[in-house]
Amino acid sequence: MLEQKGLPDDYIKGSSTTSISDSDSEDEGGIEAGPELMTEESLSKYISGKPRRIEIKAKIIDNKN
Amino acid sequence: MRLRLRSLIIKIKNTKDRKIRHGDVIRDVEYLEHADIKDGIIDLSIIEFPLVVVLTQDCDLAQDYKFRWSRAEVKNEDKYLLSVLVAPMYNYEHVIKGEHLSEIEMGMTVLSAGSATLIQKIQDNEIPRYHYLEFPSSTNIVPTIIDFKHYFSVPTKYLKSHKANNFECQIAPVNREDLQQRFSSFLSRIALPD
Repeated sequence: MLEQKGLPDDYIKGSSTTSISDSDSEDEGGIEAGPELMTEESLSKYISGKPRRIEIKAKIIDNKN
Repeated sequence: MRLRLRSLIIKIKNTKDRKIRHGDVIRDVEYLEHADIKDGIIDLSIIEFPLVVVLTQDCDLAQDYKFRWSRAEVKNEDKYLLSVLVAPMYNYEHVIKGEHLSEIEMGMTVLSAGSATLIQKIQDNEIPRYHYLEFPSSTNIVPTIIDFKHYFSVPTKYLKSHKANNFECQIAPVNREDLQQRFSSFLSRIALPD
């Protein structure tokens, strides 16, 4: 569960990820997820909604030696 | 007066299961653009898409799940999928302004500079390249566009694990079948280079 950071009620999410069903049924299976609160970070992402590039450079450490 | 053939607001399901399903809408999916190793330095470039929709056929996904994750003994890995096909979902307002890929330095056509008829055709899904989706107010998803020129594959294991904490909703059968028909039609078109 994410922590709410002073956001208005309008930003409380309704579809969430707290539980998963093991059901194998086709379209009726599953458990309705519980509520989850949006953080400021996730909220800004929804407003932006644009793909972003992440670049990573890292040194490879050879543990064999 | 023009007859509107499609309902603007699609139907969705907020329920989910462990399986990856056709029409699943999943948040924050990463696409590995390139990975280079030079002089002991690994250089990765990743694009993170805020929302994607799963386009792989549901029967293939179901078989992969059954044979990969069930405890039943299987003779081989014949039904395993290497990857799952997904398409990014872009904010409609950004798309018509041509700004949706601005953060990855890609300029796109400004559709709003065209005629009102063009905009209406996009919303009515009459332009083969684009698929417009309007979600119910119960979701956090603004109206979106899928650009059928943009799709990529994601390793199956990664997506299954990622879905556990990033599932948004699943598009209902009638709407995802419409999406799939239009996508496959776009891919199978016979086109001239120009």
